[in-house]
Amino acid sequence: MLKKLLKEQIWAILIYLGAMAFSGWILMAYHLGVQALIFFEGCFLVCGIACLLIYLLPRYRFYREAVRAQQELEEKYMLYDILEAPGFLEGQVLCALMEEAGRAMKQRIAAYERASQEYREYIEAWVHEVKTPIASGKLLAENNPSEQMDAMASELSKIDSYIEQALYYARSSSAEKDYLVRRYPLEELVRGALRSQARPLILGGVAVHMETLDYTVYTDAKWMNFMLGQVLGNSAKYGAKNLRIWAEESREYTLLHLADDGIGVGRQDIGRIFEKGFTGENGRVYGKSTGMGLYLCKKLADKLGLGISAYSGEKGGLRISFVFPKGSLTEM
Amino acid sequence: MAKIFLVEDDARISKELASLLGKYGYECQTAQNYENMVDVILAAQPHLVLLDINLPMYDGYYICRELRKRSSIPIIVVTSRDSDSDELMSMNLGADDFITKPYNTQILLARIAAVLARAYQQEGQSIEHNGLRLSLGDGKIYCGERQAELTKNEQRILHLLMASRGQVVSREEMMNALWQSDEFVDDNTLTVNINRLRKKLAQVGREDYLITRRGMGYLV
Repeated sequence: MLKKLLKEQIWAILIYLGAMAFSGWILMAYHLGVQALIFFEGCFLVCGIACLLIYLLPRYRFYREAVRAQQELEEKYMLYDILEAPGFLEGQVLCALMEEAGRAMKQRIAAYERASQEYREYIEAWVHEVKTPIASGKLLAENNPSEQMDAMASELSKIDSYIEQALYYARSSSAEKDYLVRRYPLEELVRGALRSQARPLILGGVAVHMETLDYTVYTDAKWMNFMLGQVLGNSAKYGAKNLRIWAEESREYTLLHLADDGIGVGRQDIGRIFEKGFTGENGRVYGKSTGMGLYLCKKLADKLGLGISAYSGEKGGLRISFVFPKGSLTEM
Repeated sequence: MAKIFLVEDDARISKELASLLGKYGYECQTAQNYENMVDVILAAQPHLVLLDINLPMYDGYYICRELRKRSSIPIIVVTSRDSDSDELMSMNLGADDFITKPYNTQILLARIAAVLARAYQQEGQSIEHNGLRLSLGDGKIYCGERQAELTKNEQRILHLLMASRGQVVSREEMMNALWQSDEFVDDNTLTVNINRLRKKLAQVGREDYLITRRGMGYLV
């Protein structure tokens, strides 16, 4: 910083030194003696250095402080809030401008936050509204069993699951924290998800092989139900006939694996499976992929501090693994 | 017969729910008068209240609180909002259970049965059709003098069939009912269960009780 400030003043310094040399040459030319020359040039030099310091030091201090503060700051646009206006004019002007810009930015962000909050609230309310006619339609179908009504019920279930996706999309992208991480028995979480995905799994003819899941994990029950539901729904959708669910634990983590023997995802695609809109070659063949389910799972898992990973099996099939960190760090 | 009071402002849901619960042997009563709902409910003396949260006039929370002040009748709260705060609120106000829309009817039936059993410690209901009685308390079937004991799965299958008497129940429907009680059976297991059930029906002399409709399902 100091070097840059000096470099910027290089012409002033050179001109000043030039003036010193010139005046020294004049003094010499008039034969005023070495003592006078030293005294005069000494005064000149001291004054010059003083001027330079008076100019440099406050600037150096101000900018060093500003750069340090900016590095530490999380919301970069809030710099004006912690920076004190310096004694020199350019700094004062800069601070005033920064403050104005920062305030404008803050207002704008607040406006967007409000808008996104309102939008989220609307989605929540809408989802809540639309559940009533769906419930009513499902009851209607169940009370009048017939082939058509069964088909209708299954279509209604699909609508319901897409609506659920929209709800969790809104939740996943909201800045607000609306989940509650607590201790749950893993087995109960998996059972709950299996119950809610019973219809697609049964219709898909998926045989579930559940091994002992005698662990407890830290998570939010509803979010977990949604995430597991997406994974189970995928198994049913992509031709799985067998689904194996098991868990294991290491020193720091509890792992939950769900492995199916469906069409799976090719090795070349597996890395992109959690991307938004990913369908993969196999997904396109089925033509029903939206590429939202696993993307949302990843997003929600990130928010909850869980890990999620995907592996393609030897002979097709897909394994999704959830990683739950152990210990009280995640406890809230 | 257990009597259930439905508090639900959606007329269609109310009607369909009443007809569904009717099939499973519950007597249902509903009300359209929301002004003095609490009095109406208490006057009807039901065994259980199925209470929607979103209502005109007073919301379900209010009704729940008022009911609790004056009676210990079991209450199941139904809502379409799946937020933790709703659930907590309902439980704090003294509701016995909480279920979100759109409910899986098998889950709803299971919850109703569980809450009733807890509240009244009854012997267990029994359901009768065509000379055969299924006692849900001890899981036995009775036909005249003869009786046979059913396993949980057989009992659930038969209960579902008897509740939908005269109508074909698909294999998917049966499996769904079993899954909702945490028995994640596959197609083969279901076949085994049905065959065993048939044998037990034969034991009480009713080998023709369970009729197969090929490609469609079963009925009694």
